[in-house]
This record gives sequence, structure tokens and C-alpha cells, in this order.
Amino acid sequence: MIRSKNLFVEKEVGRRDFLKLSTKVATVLGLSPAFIPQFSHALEKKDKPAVIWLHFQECTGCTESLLRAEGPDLAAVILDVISLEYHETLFAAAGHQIEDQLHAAMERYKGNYVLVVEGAIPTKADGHYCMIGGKTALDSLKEVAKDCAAIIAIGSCASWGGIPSSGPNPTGAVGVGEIIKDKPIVTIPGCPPSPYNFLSTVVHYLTFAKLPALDDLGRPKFAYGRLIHDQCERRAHFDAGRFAHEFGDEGHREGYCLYQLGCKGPSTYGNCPEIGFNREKTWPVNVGHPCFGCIESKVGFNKSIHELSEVPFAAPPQVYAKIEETGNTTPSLVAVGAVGAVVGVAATAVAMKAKKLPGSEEE
Amino acid sequence: MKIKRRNFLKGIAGAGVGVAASPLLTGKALASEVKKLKPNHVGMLYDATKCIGCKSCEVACKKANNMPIEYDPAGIYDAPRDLSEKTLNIIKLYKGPEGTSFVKRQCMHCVDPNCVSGCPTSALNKTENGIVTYDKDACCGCRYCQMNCPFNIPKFEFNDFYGEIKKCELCRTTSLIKDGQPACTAACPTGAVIFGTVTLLLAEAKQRLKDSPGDYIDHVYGEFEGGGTSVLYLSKIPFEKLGLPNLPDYSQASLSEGIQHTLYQGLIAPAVIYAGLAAIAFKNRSGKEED
Amino acid sequence: MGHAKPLGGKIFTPPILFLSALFLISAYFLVLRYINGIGYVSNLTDNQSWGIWKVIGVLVGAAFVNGGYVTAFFVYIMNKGAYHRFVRQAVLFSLLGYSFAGLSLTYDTGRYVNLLNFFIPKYMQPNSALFEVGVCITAYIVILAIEFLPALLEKIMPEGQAQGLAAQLHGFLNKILFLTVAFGVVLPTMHQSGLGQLAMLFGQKLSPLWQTPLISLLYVISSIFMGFCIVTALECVYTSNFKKKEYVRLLGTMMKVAGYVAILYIILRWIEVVRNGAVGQAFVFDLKANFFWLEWILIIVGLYFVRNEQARFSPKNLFLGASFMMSSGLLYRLNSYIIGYQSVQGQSYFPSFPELMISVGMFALQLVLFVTIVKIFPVMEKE
Repeated sequence: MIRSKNLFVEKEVGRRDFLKLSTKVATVLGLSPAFIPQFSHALEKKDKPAVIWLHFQECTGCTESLLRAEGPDLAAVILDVISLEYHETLFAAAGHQIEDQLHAAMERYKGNYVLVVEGAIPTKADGHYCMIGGKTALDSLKEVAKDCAAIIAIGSCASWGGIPSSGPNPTGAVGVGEIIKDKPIVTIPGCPPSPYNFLSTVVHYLTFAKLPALDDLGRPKFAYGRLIHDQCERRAHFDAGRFAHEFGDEGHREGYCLYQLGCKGPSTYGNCPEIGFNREKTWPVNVGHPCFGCIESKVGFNKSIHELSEVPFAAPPQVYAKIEETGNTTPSLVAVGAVGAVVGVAATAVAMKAKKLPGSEEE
Repeated sequence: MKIKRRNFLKGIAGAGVGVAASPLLTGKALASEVKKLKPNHVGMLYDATKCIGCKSCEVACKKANNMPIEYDPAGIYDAPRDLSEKTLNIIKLYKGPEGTSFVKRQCMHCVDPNCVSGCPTSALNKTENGIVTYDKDACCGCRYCQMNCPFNIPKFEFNDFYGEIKKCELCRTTSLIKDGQPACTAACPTGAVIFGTVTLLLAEAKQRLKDSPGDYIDHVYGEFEGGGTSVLYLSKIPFEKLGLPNLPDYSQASLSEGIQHTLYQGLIAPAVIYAGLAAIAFKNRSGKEED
Repeated sequence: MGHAKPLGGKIFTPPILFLSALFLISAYFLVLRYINGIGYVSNLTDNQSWGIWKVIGVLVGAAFVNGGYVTAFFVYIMNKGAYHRFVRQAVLFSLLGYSFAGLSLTYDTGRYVNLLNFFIPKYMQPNSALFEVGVCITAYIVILAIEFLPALLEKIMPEGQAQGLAAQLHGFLNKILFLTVAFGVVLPTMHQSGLGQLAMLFGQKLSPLWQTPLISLLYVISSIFMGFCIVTALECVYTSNFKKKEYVRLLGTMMKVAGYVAILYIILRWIEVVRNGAVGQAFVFDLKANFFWLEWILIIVGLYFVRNEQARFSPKNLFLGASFMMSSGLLYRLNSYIIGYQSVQGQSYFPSFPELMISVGMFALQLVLFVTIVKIFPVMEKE
């Protein structure tokens, strides 16, 4: 039985579910099956880290995505693994009651709790665009972050601003990293991110007592280390130059590459093609719609969906030597100057000498 | 005295101009030894219509000859853009109004090579079986071979403080001994490039032209170009578009050597002129001593 | 024997110091070249493998200093004894020029130790025009050195004495002069033609504005008029006194002959351009065509300055005529090896700064040596 605190969800969770989760996590992290018992053991431990989950400018999609995680019912499992002290969606309480709960939790677990942030934080007009319980999101974040151990920013909104930050960004929405500078921050961008990216990060931390390797934007490398383009099942079509040009045309029906329709796979980092979403493990390209780069700041909600993506590297099979490779040397300015100087000096010397010579024979 | 000398000098001058101008009049080489194709000369036949651009030949060549990996300017691994001191054999792609075709470029092992003729220290030689070989111990690095090769094949290690010339040598010290054929022909999955004696390959090429005339341009490139090459080409795309230059039917080496031999054969002409000049100088000197 | 005397004067004048500084810069770059390879200091690539070092250092350099060739012919074969006064300075300039041309090969070849293979029978390849040029130039340097030796000997010889080793050697050299002088005419003819012959193997890679079977003859002819030009020009540079009519007439006659040779050269060149069907290409006015026309402009202007006897009385005209005709001949060599040469479409070449400085510095050193030697040794004849 789960010990649930005022939760709407009640489920039976047994050992098998822990094992299933461990297997999934091992796969997502790219670790060998030898780690599964370790994960399972960590999950079963009773000393659970306290988690405070704040919501700001968000649609709650990230929470919902977590709740929709299937096989096993991971929401239930994870809620048995962590001690969720504050969550506006999942808690039955409301109003002053829940606010008191928040402050009590902050006090009790001071310095030790993990802060999960979902949603962007508006900064214009002193942050008045998002107020909860009479406090701006900005103040709320600063207050709760003060005594936390670490921050996980889940979703693109909390990671870099997400959809609220798309131009002209009237509320000045930014990600957590723009506001809090003195705490370790892991970002799990996506709209929503696969719940397994979040879950694997947490389980990794529980098992190994440290966070997985992060890139310079704070994203776990196991999930965001490679371009979607480099894992896409339609990549061979891109390399061979086979593209869909319109929705429903022959190329589209043949399942050709969607680059010409604006797929942002070449400029977005993520693992969507690898692990997919939902029970069928599908993802947008899989069902015929170009990726729009929801993970990547400056791409998702920034470039228009059908605008062609930048392709940072050409695929090797597309690179053939041309018949004539021109090997131009652009002359250096110094060299040109030197040549000019030499010719100039020679010409001047000749002219000067000629001037000195008698024009006609002296009698 | 004066008149005699003047006539003598006029005679020499006339002879000199006449000799040098004779190519102008005859229009062709006064070749004494134009190299010809021998029945045991080996070479390759490359059929561009069969090539799929898989580049196995590039990979096999690098492996067999221990050549280092070359990067494309954008940093792509193992993607040479042209022949170089690291790449002896390359596949190039042509896309144009006539269609798409690949072309394999490497040393053509010409029948009468410009490089062999021009090399001052015998570093490049045409062996008994027709392979054009390179000897680094003879080479002085003057790079004349680079200037005179009509196909721009020899490449020099400019960034080495004591560099060598690099070019395809038909794997003569590696695959040719081990497998009886060069690495590229052994690796080709479609048989687009095959190895054999040039005379047989030429017959095969002509047979293919006869059997499927619509598939090819009716010409075997290398049969006569530049005096003939040991590597022959068949293609559906015009050869010039594939980067194979439109050369006359004689080798430039035969033209140049023709003039060279006419002027200097056995150093007779220079010796005669020398003797004449020395005699005049001697006579003048005796005259001057009375100054 | 002539009345040659050392010019005397300060050795380390400001121009000499400036030229020496240029040489020091080039020495620095040469060190870099030997440590890191040719590619490190130059813009030479597989597609343009001969650049200004070969073209300016060897080809242009060899033509620039051809005074020794023509004066030897004029004086010892045509027996125009009056021109004898020009011989020594021409020989010295040639000796320096050819020596430095040979020296440039030690840094312009990739495997310079194997240059010795030119003289090892196992490696010799007489079919090659380059082989002939190399051997011939080496022999010519030896001949020039022998021709110049009397000037060195005269410096150390006590005046008027017929004894002493130096004096004996001096006498001996004088006796065999007719042998060395004959070489001094045959060898340059051979290697100048060889230098042109090299371009024959380029085939179509050399534009039809320059490519022709006659190219070796054209190189010989152009080197002849260039030889007269350099002698005239050098005389004008060094002489301050043009009062002697006879002296000016001598120079004038040299330029007259040069003029006729130049006209022959123009006619032959144009016959070949027409025969190649390349006249149309001259009117495309791309880089090649423009440099092609520049050659003709320079030579016509030069010929204009020396057009008739009246014009040739003026030292100014002689100097300018010589300079312009000289430039045209130099440009011909630059054009036939670099401008007119195209190995692949779109290929272009421009020397890098270190590459340029090496050529400039080495030429500066030649000038320094020439000026210093004529100041110390009896080379120039002054009235």
C-alpha cells in the first residue's frame, strides 16, 4: 500500500513495479541491466528526499505527462519513492491550508529538499503577471529556492522560458536559471518532456547519490546529448535526398524525411526518436509531422514550424568530392601590399634615374 | 676575312632558326622514341555506368597503402575532397543536365607519360609492365611532374620539411603482390573498375560499346588521349564534364622530346656550334693582340 | 685588357643597409621554411606548384642577368672590341644572378639533398629539359666564374708585374679566353631555350596565347634583347658622364640591335598566336588577356624610345627604352609560367608575404654583392 498524503491517486505498488521502473530507467540512462537491482534497492529504501513542486507560468502538461506514464503506473511508484511535500495539482488541500503546508515543509526539511519548478517566471512589471497566494512567482521562487538543496526545472518553460517567452515575450518570461544563480540546477526541457527523462534523473540521484552528467545548459546528457536528427528513423531519406514537400504528397505517404516541411530535428537535442512517448512509443516525425524543436530554446516557439532548420553538419554520405575542387588562395593584404611596394619602388627608381639622365647628348 | 665570318655567322643563325622552326613547318613531333603500348602492360577499366559511388575503393586504397585519414574542410571524418598527398584514389560526383555519374580519379599510368619525360633525376619511371612508379631516393622535389601532368595527379607533401610526391602506383608493392590486383579493383562490389592487361581491357571496353550502344558515349577514353593511358574510361556523360580533359592524340612528351633530340641528340649540334664559335673567338683574339 | 678600376666609395651606404635588412628578413623566413616545409611559408599548392621562387628567381632572374651572354657574343665573336668595357660588369651580374638562381633551388625543391642526383649518372635523365637546364646552368656558373676570375686576380696582382702566381694564372686565363667565351655563348643559348622548352610539357594547361612549339626559340630571342637592355640600363645607372659621343653611340648601337631582335620576337610570337587560333582569347579581357596586352604595350613603348638614331642619342631614351623592353621580357616569363598556366578551373595563385620576402631579400642580397664587388674590384671602366 502506498502511504499517500492527501493525494487523489491511490494504487497498489509492489516489487514488480519497482523492477519494471528500474529496467526502464536503466534503458533510458543507457546503463547495463546489471544496474537494475541497484535501482530497485534504492527505490525501496525508506529514507526519501523531500520534494517541493512549484508551478508558475505553465499548462501543467509536465505533471500530466508524468501522471500519464504507464507500465507500471509510475506516478504512484514515484510518489512512494519521494516525499512530495507540496504540489498544487495533486494535493487535495487549497488556500491557506496548503500555504501553511508549504512553509511547514520548508522549515522541516530546511537545506535538504529538492525544488522542482514547472513553468516560466515572469519578470516584467515586478513579476505581477503571475501571483499565487498574494505573492509574485518571482518572490515565491526566490523564497523557496533559498533553502533548497537542488533545483530541477521540468519542461521548456522552467528551463528557458518556453511558450510564454515566445516573441514579443510581453511578460518577460524566463527560465529558473535566469533568476537563481547559486544552486545546482538540472533542466529537463521539452513540451512536455518524456516523463522518463525526469524519472531517470531522479532515480540516478537516489541510487548513486549524484546527478547524471549534465551539458552546459544543465541538461542530462543521456537524454539531451545528441541531435534528434542523428537518431531519427527517417535519416536515411534525408541523406539520400528523399523529402516530403507537402502534407499528403507521395513523399509524405512514403514516409520520407520531413526536413523540407520544417522539421527542426537537425537543430534540436533530445531523445524523442529513441524512447518516444505513450504506450506506442510514438513521436511527431513518426506520425508524419515535423519536429518543431520544443526542447531547444531559440528554436521551439521561436522559429516558425515550417521554416527550414539549420543543419550544423552535412551527413557524410551526402558529401562527395566535386569534379573540380577550386583551390583558391585569397591573397593576403600584406602580400598584395608588398608586391605593390616592390613594383612601385622599381618604377619610381627607373623614373627617377631617367629624369637625372641628360635628355640629349651633350655637345 | 670579315665577309667570310659574316657569312659563317649567318649560316649558323639560319641553321639554328631553321632547326627550331621545323616543328612549326611539319606540325608534328620529330619523335625519335615515342613510347608505345606493350601487350604485357597492365591497367584498369573504369565503367562509370556501373559505379554506385560506395567509395569502397577509397577505403581499400587507404588501408592497403597505409594512407592517413583526411578530413573535409567542414571537419567531416574520412571525406577527402580531392586527390592529395593522403588520398591516392578518389570518387567524384557529377550532377548536371545530362544526368548523374560518379568518376574514379587516380594516376592514369599514361603510355608516354609527361612526368617520366620531364623528371630530371629519373624519380618517375615507366616499368616493364607499364606502371608509372616513383622513387623517393631519386626525387629532388622540383615538382615539375605536378606542373606537366595533364591530369594533375602527382601531389606533393608541402607541409613536410622533406616531402615526397604521392600518387597511385597500382599497389605494386602491396595488393598487386598479395592479391594479384590493386586494392581498388579487388574491393569494387559492382565490377565498375577492373584490372587486367590494357589490350584485353580495351577489347572488353569496345565489346561493351558494341553490345549496349545506348548506354554509353561511343568512345573509350584513354585509347588515344595524350598518347594513350593504361586506365581506360567508359561513360554515359561526356568525359570532359567528368573532369577528363580533351587531349590531342599525341603525348606532349613526344613533342617536347622530339625537339629536344633534334637540337641536342648526341650533343652534336652544340659541339659543332661550339667549335665554330671557339674558332672565331680565337681568330679575333689573334687580331686583337696587335692592339 | 681595358682600364677597369674599382669604383671605390663607402661600402655601407644607406641603400646597402636597407637592402641588407631586406635580406635578413628573408633569412628569417628561410629558416622557417627549412624547419616546417615549403607549405608553411608559401602559397604553393598542388595546383600551382611553381610560383614566384621558380619563376622570378630562376626564369626571370636568368633573363635579367643575360648581359654576360650578349656581350660575350658581341665582343668575342662579332669582334666589336669597343664593347669590351661592358663585359666584366655583365659577367659579374650574370655570375651573381645565375648563382642565386641555382641557390634558390636549394629552398624551392622539396628534397634538396637529391639535387646532387643531377650529376650522378644513375639518376640522370637527358630527355628532360629540366635536366638539361640544371646541368647547363651549373656549367655556365663555372664558366662565368672563370670569366670573372681575372678581375679578382687583378686586385691582388701588383701593378705591372708579370711574375707571381696570380699574374701567371691571369695570363693563362687570358690565353684560354676564346675557349671559355665560346661556352659562354653556347651554354646560355642551350639553357635559355631549355627554360622555354619546360613549358612545352604543360600542353593545354598553358593558355594558347603563350603555348607554342617555338617557345624555346622565343625564350632565346627574348633573352638576347633582354641582355642588351640590361647592359645598357646598368651602364646608365653607373655612368655620370655622358659627354663622350662615342660612348653614347656604343650604347645606342646595342639598343638598335636589341630593337631588331625584339621586332623579330614580336613577329614570331604573333604568328604563333594566330596559328593557335587564340586571337579571340586576347579580346576577352580577362586576367590572362590583360597581362598579354601589357607585354605588348611595354615592348612597343620601349621600342618607341629607341626608334631612330636621333632618339638613341639621348641616354634618357636609352635607359627608358631598355627598362621597358626588359619589363616586357620579364612579364613574358611570368605569363608563361604563372598567369597563363591553369591546372584546374578556378585555381588562382598569389604569393604569400614570406614567400615574396624570400625572393625580394635574395635579390637584395645580389644587389648588395654586386655593388660591393664593383666598389672593391676592378670591374667597371670609367672615363
